[in-house]
Amino acid sequence: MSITVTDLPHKEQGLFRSALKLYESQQFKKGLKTSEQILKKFPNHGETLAMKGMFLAQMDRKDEGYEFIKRGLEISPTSSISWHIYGLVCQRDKKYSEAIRCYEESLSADMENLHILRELASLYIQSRQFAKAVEIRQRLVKINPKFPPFWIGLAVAHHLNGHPELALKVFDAHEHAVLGDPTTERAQVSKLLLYKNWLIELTGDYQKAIENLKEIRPRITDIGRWMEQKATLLLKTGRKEAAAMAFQDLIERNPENNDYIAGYIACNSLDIARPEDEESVLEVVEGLQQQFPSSNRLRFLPLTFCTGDRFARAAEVLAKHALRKGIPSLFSSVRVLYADEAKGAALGRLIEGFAGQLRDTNRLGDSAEDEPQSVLMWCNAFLAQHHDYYGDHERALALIDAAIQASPDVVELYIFKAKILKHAGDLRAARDTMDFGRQKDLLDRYINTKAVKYMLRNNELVEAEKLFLEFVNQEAPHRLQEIVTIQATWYMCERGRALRRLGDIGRALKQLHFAIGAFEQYDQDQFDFHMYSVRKMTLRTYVDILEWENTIYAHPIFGDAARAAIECYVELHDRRQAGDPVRAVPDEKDGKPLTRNGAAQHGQHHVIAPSGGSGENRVFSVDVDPSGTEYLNADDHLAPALALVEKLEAASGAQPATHLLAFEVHLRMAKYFLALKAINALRAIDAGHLALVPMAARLGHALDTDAAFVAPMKAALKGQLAKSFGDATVASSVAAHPESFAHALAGAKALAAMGDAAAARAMLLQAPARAGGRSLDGLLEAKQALEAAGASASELGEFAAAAKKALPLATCF
Amino acid sequence: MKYYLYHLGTWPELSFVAENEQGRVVGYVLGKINDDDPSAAAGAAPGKAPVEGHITSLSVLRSYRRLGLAERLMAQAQRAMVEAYGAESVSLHVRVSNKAAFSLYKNNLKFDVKFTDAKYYADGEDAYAMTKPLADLYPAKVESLDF
Repeated sequence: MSITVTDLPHKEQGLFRSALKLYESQQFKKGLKTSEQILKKFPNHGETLAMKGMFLAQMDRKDEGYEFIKRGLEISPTSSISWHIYGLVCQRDKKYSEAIRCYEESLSADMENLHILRELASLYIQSRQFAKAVEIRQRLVKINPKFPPFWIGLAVAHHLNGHPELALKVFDAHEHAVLGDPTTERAQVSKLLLYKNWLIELTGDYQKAIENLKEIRPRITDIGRWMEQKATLLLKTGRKEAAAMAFQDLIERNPENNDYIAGYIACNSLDIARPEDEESVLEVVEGLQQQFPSSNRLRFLPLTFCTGDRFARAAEVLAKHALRKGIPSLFSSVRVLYADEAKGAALGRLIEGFAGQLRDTNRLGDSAEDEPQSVLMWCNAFLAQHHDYYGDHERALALIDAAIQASPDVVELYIFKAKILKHAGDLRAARDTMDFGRQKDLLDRYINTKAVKYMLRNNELVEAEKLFLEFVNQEAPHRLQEIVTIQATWYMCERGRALRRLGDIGRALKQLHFAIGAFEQYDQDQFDFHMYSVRKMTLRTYVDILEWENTIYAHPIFGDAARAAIECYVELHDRRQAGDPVRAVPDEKDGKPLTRNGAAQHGQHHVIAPSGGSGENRVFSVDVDPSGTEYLNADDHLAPALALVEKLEAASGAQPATHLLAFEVHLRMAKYFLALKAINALRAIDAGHLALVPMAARLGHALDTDAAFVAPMKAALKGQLAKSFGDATVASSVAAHPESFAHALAGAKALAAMGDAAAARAMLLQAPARAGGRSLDGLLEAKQALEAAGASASELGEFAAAAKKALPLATCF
Repeated sequence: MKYYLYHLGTWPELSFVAENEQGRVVGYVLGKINDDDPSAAAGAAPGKAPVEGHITSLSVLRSYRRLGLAERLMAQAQRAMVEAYGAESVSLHVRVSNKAAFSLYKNNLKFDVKFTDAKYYADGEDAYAMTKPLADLYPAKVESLDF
């Protein structure tokens, strides 16, 4: 029989309890000693073994810690304490599903343990198992119905579980204890009442919600939210006149808020998306503009829904205002309108006309006053970006140079010029221009960031890092570590991609995983709020936070980092298959240290993510693998790629790139049905996607060459492919789109993947002459593919000449 | 990121973002209520100590300046400080070297320098501690409940 804690003699029981106290006060060394003291006398006491493991796990001896905990559980498999300990350690390591299992075990022996119940409820919410969270929080309320966080927590759990009506019942039963207590802070009462009003709204009983809203008004301090609620509810009950007044009050508070303006338009029974409402919506918006002439949003809004002359008039008002004030964001504001060709052309004509008038008369339209010089300068800056948008880089550069000549100290102009040069393919000049602009305002973080990014695009790791560190806390204990700590995801992602271009796949994967890790951290960040928000009664925000957390992996930087990492893994796999494994790039020993306190040399990173804890408790580990050999030498390169593919499928399933990469990974794993699934998922998004035929060809080719795959399944898959794609081949698809660069590139890559390098090279050499979908990135990708397909020096020269014809200013071929 | 979530989860009324036409965030203000008042910690009656709001951070992307976004973000945060928490003043810190921001606070937003906080920033730079009274700036409106 195993000894449970009550079976220990009096003295050891005392020691056990004091060890638990030491854990709570984070005195892990002392606690470890105390548990070892017990084990000296009772070496097989399961719970003490588990406790020792818990201390070890806290002290950076994780593996050992888990060993001890598991040994303890073998001896006392039904001990609530041991399971509790196991759960704590798992939770600390963010292994949430394991922690849930441990706490469930622990609870079966200790049904009313408050700590476990609370943690378990949080863990269920973290993993979006709301029904189970409701169940646990019901038990908490039963144990202590008077403790506000318990019943408020239960109400939120019902709400998250899709039952606002049950949440309201909880309010009815318990709210008086908080709302009737004069010591509750006013702001908290207000938040709780507004949350309850939202719950009523969610049940669909809008009239009741309106009555409630009137009743609670004297106790509301968040006036803005109350007014929003009023306007929304009035609109939902169809009382449009009253709702319009409510929205009008809101616009007065904040004339830049889209939702308020949209609400006001809806109150007029108009729909901004309906073409026949155009004139009436414009009338309404112009009415608001007269009342709120300073609103940027109201000035811009007509451009989004107006067409023809009305569009031209609105554009003229907006552009004159912006040009006279020197608002640098004019082009980036209207850029979204260029999706409509007529609008893009109209904007070009408009500003071209302004520039002509200014050159001739120094005046705009029928204005009686001379304009300052700067207006023509901003016209030229706009037109430069306009022509850049249409790919006319030479004209764009001439215009931006004219603007710079007129105003050499306006930093924004260098940002515009650098961007044009980047689009034109002169990455070196782009970077130089951005850096020149940076030097005009050394205190500005924005242009510093831009310069760093452009250097990384130009594969300059050392210079980029030196510059970036100028804006990283100078007093941080380890400045390179600090980059990870401040979660500079864009930097880690760009640096990782630059390393990949340089062939340093090990370091690239390290950087990309830092960026990916930041998103995993965001995901974990919500954990504390499951209890904190309930205590603070900030419940509406809490629900918003949970919804936002559901979308974090859809963030573009996560997508960029994950896609680049998958491509790295695929490359590692392919090179190993080909008998030419990727090797680590050694440190450069001759470089000087970049920082006095970082172990960085010559742009090399010697950093790994903190192993846990926060603030002063953060543990910094020495990076024993700066070149990322753990990634290079891993037994399986496809498994981590697959894990990222699954994350992308869950978060970014609407993006074609997700399915292209899923296909690459599944095909290499010989999971042919999943490869077909990826093809079908892409077809569902875009039935004419240019990658479809090449993918189908590759799957067919893989099936033909895989002798181990069973024949009936092979036949079934081939049947499916034939049904969807008939007898289309890579060659026929590329030939059918003679103007498309993108088809040729995708086709050539597929040919290379199927082993026909010669055909791939031929196709790539012809690709630059095709204009459709041709871009700098595409041309660079084609160059890379050509190299990978074993092109000769003369072939590369031929390609460079053809690419240069397409992008005359480019220097990167 | 957690620092931002903490502000939102504690004083949800006091933070705002500015978005561009594509819905990208191009500016934000992060506000809080100063809760490091020693008299409150010593157990003084709640509501006695004057409430002070604090601007933790205010930022607008360089390319979105001259649209008045910083002023508008500040106005929203200040008003919410008064309405939601009864703040009587608002404070902030600014680097002594940051001339543009200082001029915005001093001239446009009417903050005054209270004192210079030596070595306030981690890199050793001093900060101007600035404040502005909020009393009477946003008088409560009596709303009709006849709707």
